[in-house]
Amino acid sequence: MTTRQAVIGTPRRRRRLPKLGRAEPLVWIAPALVLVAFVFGYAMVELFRTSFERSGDWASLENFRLTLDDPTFRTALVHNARLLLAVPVLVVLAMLISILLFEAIRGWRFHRAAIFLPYVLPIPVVAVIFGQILQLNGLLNRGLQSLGLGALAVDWLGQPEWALWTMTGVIIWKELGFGAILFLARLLSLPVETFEAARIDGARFFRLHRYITVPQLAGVIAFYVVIEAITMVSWVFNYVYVMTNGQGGPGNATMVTELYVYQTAFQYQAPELAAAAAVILFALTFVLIVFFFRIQRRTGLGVHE
Amino acid sequence: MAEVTFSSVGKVYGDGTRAVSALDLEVQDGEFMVLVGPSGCGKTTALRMVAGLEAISEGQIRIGETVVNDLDPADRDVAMVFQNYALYPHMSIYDNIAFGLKMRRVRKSEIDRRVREIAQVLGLHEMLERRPRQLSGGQRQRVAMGRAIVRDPSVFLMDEPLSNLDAKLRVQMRAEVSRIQHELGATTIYVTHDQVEAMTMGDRVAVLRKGELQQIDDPEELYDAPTNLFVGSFIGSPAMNLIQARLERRGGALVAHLGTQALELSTETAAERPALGAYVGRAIALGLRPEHLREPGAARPGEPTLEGTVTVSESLGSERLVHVEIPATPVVSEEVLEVVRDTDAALVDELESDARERRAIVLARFDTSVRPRPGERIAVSVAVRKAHFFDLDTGSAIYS
Amino acid sequence: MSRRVGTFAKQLVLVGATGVAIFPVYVMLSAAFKSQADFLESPFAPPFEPSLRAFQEAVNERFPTWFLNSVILTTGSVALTLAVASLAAWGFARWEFRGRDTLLGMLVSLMVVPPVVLLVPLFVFGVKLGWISTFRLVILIYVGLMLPFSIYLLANFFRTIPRSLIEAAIVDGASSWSVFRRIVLPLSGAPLVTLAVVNLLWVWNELLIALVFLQDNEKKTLMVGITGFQSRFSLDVPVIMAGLSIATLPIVVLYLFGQRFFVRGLVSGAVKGE
Repeated sequence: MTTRQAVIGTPRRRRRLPKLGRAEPLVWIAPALVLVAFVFGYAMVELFRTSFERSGDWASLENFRLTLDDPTFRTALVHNARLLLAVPVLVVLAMLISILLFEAIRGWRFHRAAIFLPYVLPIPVVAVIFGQILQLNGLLNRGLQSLGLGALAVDWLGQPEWALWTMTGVIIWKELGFGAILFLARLLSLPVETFEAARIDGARFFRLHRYITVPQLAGVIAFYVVIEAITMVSWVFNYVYVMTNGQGGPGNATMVTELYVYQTAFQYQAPELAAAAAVILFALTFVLIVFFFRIQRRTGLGVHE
Repeated sequence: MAEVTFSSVGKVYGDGTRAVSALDLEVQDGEFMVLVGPSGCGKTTALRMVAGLEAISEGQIRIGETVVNDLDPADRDVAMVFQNYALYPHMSIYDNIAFGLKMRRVRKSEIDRRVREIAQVLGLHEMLERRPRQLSGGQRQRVAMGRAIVRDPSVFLMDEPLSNLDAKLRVQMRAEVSRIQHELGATTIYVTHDQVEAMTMGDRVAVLRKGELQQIDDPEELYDAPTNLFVGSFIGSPAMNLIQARLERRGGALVAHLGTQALELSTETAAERPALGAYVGRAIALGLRPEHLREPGAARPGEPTLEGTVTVSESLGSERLVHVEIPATPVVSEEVLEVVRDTDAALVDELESDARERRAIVLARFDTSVRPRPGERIAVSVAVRKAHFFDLDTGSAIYS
Repeated sequence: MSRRVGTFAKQLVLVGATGVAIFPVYVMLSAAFKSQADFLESPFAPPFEPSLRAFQEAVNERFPTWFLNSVILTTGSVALTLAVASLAAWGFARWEFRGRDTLLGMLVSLMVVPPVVLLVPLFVFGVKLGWISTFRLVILIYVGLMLPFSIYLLANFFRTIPRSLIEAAIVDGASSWSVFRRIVLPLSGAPLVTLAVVNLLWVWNELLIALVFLQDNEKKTLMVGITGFQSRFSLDVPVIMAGLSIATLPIVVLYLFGQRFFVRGLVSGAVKGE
């Protein structure tokens, strides 16, 4: 009996780490928190601070007023808003394609691989290629001409009226794959009996998808809309920068808020104004982030099971 | 080996729910103690508190002489077999069994010796290199046991280890587990909600309900002398028949009126339980186990009968279970309903409506030679000497 | 009959979509193997006489340096992210503590904060410390940016590990670290690979931060380099395309072999049970 007693209660030899108790989870999380606090926390605090300064002095809302008065900034905001028009287009096209893939038409795996490919390509690469294709004497126009549709050949990137729409088209081209795959994954996770029952009940393509398929996609559609909206507002820098050589041209035809911040900070050397612009951009994105957060919680798409 | 002592142990969760109250229990060195009760009675919580997987809110748990309240599971020298076995899926069977020893930095050669020895005993020596997913349910269960045994701990803790096995395998494994425990002489605390397992395996059985200990005794005592309605209806399969009865005195004898019928209690019964006298004129719960309700011919001279209508007759091959409807009121107290609900929640409504309509359906054990047909009127022999009596308000058994 | 027409129409749409999706890639690859004149004459047709001239010219530059820089950056930041994220995700999944869900929620929401917002203050910081054009700052920033999604993905997965497995290990005597190292990590092969792939993709393709923070010619990444290509080689399209092809090659190879990891990784966050 005595040897047993000796065993119970004695910690094993060589306990290297001290007992952490209730603080233990924080030890695990600490490195991540430190990094995130620096990259996000420090940066945002600094950003806010800078936006209220002018050459080191307190400038209250001066920077914001100047930024909002700047016609270029306002143009940038308008352009971001126009980019948002792409979102419904993305949703509809993604739904269509995912439904077709879901119906498992012959060769659908190949199509799925191909359609998702644009999403993984680097934006700079995509932008350069399209830059070439969309030039005045680029592939698109030459193709149109050889088909006898020369009248449609425009300077897609060079003409102010077209430039932003063209940019939108490129962005749609790239982002579509994500939506298609997202919706497809969701569809594949649904019980197949629902569809079989509907088919037996007589629903064919349009009605089947309208009444059965699409409603069940509601959750992911909301998710996708928010993600893409956030993209259109604040994740399009790469496209614009590469396709217009950092100018937002022709003129200001493709100026967007991110580019404005970049130019103000690095070309015009006005970090405070850039900070103010960034704060405004963040505020807009924040609204969308809140939506994102809410949707996560409501549709149970989050970590909370 | 060591004893395990619970002293006024309680468990309260952060949100206020109480799982265990004032539990006093002593498991002797080498004893096979079974904790049994319906879902939510606190038996698993109590087990986990011994393991160190749940913090102890009140009271003390001692293993041997040592108070283990603040000790890590790793320092308590206990081994546990989980309900779903919890085998490490990415390790071989060998590594699974060896894991605990590895964590305690036992020498490799020693680990190898012990693992192979246990594997031989449990019949696992051919599958040491395989992965858990390649094994059958019964084999996995044995690996889980092997993992615990190889550590030669002070206490074995088992959390419903057989409930995931199919019926036949379960019967087989029951015997296996008992045998191994006896050979090892290991102090074991075994949790189950299956009272058949409890009765067949335990040296002593502790019945818990809503976090409170109801009765702790060896299986025979539990069966023959339940201390309250709950234990009476929980232990025993098929369950004890419980009917409301009014006690009256007639001449010198006590008579129990069930509905329109009367059962005269023997003089010995009245003598053994003087307390019954206080219940004259009142309603009590009368408990009769199915084996004490026999076919009409079996009545010994002087033994009363109960008349009723046969509803169902089930042949078990070795005997017959006959359901007889009697115009009397079944007991539907909280305790009884809880046991019924634990079996099948739908039966609760049935029982309650039966009570309202004053129909009690009792189960009787007949010899196979008698074949009553549904609808037939029948007179069931009652071994009234073996009847149990319970206070309807407190649920306590009336013994003295 | 209408069924066949329907199927044909669907096929047509899919083929059309695939064509549109692949066309630019085709342009890039076919042009890369052409001579300058060849391209100007017939941009659509596949190369008549495939040559590696364009590749040679493209790689003559600082190209190898850029490639190497991208590799360093990518492997460094992805490795560090996986390490830090798995530790943190385990901290969130294993223990309950006050404010856990809120903290995790906030952390996860950072996923969608646009980098441009962080650009100016981090750049100012970098200038102050003289860390502009150093890898360390960029890696730190990349890791910081990748952590929210990574922690989200891994925490979700860790929650699916049955609690009884962890408890069995604890009762068996495993320390907290042992549980993580011997039980959790070995079981996390799939999500870790998925995460590595997704993060790899992101870092390799990243432009803005690399552009701003790695200004020395020696330190430029591939993406920054080829963006400059356009202006330098504006008339020699095949060379541009050759450069792009090499830059895209690792991604495409990874994609062909590990497509399901890409898909799973990018989609998990949105579909339950994925």
